[in-house]
Amino acid sequence: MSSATMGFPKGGVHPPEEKELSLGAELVTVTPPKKVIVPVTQHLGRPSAVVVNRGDEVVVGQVLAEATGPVSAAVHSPVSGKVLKIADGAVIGADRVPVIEIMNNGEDTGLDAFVQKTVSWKDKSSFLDWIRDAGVVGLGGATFPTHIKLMPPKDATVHTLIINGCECEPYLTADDTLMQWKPAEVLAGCCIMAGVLGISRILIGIEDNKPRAIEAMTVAAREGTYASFFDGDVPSFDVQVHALKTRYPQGAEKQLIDALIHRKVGAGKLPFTAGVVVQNSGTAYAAFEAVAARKPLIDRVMTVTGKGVEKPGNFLVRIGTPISEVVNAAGGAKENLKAIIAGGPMMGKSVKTLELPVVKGTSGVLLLTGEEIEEYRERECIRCGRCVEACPVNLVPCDVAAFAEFRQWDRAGKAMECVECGCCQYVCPANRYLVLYNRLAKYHWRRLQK
Amino acid sequence: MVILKAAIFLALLAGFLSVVLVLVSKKFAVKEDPLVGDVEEALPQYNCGACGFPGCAGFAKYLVESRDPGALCVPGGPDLQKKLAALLGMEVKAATPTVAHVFCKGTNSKAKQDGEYFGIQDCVAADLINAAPKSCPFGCLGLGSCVEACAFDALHVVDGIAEVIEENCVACGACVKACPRDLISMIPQGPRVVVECRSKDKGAGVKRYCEVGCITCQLCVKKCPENAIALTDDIIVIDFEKCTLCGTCIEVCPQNTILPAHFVPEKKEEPKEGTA
Repeated sequence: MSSATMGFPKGGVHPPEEKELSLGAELVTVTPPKKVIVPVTQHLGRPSAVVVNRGDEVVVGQVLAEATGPVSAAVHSPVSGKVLKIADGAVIGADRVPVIEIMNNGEDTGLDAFVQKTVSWKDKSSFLDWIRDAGVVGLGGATFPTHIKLMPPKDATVHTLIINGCECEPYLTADDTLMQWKPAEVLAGCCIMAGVLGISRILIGIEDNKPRAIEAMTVAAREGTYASFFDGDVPSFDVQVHALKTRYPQGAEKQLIDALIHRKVGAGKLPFTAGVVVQNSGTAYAAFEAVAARKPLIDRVMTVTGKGVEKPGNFLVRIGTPISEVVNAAGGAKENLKAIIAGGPMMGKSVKTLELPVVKGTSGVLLLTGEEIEEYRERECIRCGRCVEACPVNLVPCDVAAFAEFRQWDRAGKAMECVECGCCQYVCPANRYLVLYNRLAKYHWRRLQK
Repeated sequence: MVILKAAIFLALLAGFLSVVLVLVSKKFAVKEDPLVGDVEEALPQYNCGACGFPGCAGFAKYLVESRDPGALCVPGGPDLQKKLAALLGMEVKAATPTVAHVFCKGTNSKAKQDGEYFGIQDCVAADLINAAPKSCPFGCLGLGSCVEACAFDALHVVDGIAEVIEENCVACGACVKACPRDLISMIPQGPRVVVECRSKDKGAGVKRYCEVGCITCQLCVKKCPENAIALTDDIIVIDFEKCTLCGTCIEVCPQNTILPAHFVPEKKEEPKEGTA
């Protein structure tokens, strides 16, 4: 292990971590609900196409919607039962997208088919297809189809697989819990993805506020426990676990690459250009399940936390479960609940209701009380420059905001480089809505380019 | 003496330079069609951009050079069309006089609200983060992006929805482009009947969040004697050309979504039932 001060060079913030709220409790498996709501599209890329009809009987893991192109992902049934309807429904971040409602018959027919077997390394050429067919997408939140990232362009030379176990968002502990719970499986998933890429170097980056996850992963890497999942000619892997400085946004792809291998990936460029592929630790586990058990992505680990919930913790939840059911499993919401945020506090989306389904990209839900949130109105920019210092991608957020505020869209093109991490808004003493201004500028800039 | 010398020198210099200037201006004169100036003067000088050019000057130049019969200055209205036709000596398409219309009547009291939004006071911003205070995913956000886009003070937000002040509207279409929910369209001026809702939700959904939303019951479609009403793309649309302003749809609409504008529909005698 290297020194604990590895980190990205510029910008970032360190908000109160608040991770102890949900840490420590056992990982609870949430009973699949009576009715699941499965959005047809749960990834970045082309929308999937529905292949079931209303009234169809489906089993666990049956394909509900097929991928419609290379950059697309299939969606599988998380329960067995009957398709109630295919209609438009609300999801996190959108009011109307096509969703499939399934009445659960409670029998979980078809779940027995996904038994974990020893992975023969001879099947290596099929790994990628299995990962694709399982509908695995990036579980850190961006939900980019995983198999695309595992197919670097021919002219790129990839030498390193970076596994993102940073979980730099405050409050969230889902990846942390997963790495403590199944370190060998996560590592086996990493090896599978490295095998697909044909490389042996795996770097795992974890923020140093997760000592137990670092410990578990280091032990698993040292003792090579993951090797027991494989047979055949397994190549040797050079797995290194690195503790990184706890600083948001350490888990942002480009910041992580910079921290681990000191390479910069320019704006609009992909990690391939630096010879790396970055995958989330949760994605590694999903890839392991896809290959070892041929199990599609039908459940995920998510955090339910905040002072507005009785028993914060981490939950293994089927995709499509209404968030309210997960909250019930966490003892229910408290009366002084003030705000609900899907995702982390820095980049998550504020939602109005708990009746939205858990999707592949839902890493957590925060139920916050008045104690934890501050209501404010923005005031005038005082040109203090703190946002400039905090920006990890070298923007001048106050300027972009000024261009956006005064409708000078043609000058606000720099906004396109913004990763919307929220550091600028976090440090702004005038409480300017800097991220929203950036998004507004992006929207209008795209319209101007048309 | 010195002052005289200086004066004479300056006078000579000025005379010489003026000759140079005259020659240069003759030599490098830019020949501009005098028509361009005339056409520009005839245009309304709003510089609204409805024609697709940054201002009236650009449009005038284009019109004179291309003689494009399809080019249209909507805010100028039919009078301008005649003037331009006379100036250019060509057929100029007459624009039907139109006016902007906001297809939503879900005021703060009629449409349910289920949140509070205090971010940037701009419809696009609120829509981007899906944080509109109103529950209806199709309704007017009431934050006034169209008001800001309008250079003619023809839009105001009243009780949570944008309303058009028709006297001020020149039909430039800036508000149509500004609305993130595509709620504003150009419709013919004058008396008309309009379905004041563009929700694509089904009836039960609409009833949950709006008292005056269209529940697509299609009673109006069935009752219209002129077959002027149709369900197109989940929205009820009235064909203004076919509509005879009979007012049948206004009466049958259970949600009072269909409203008359600029005329009072005749009240029909309610057929009395079961009185005998």
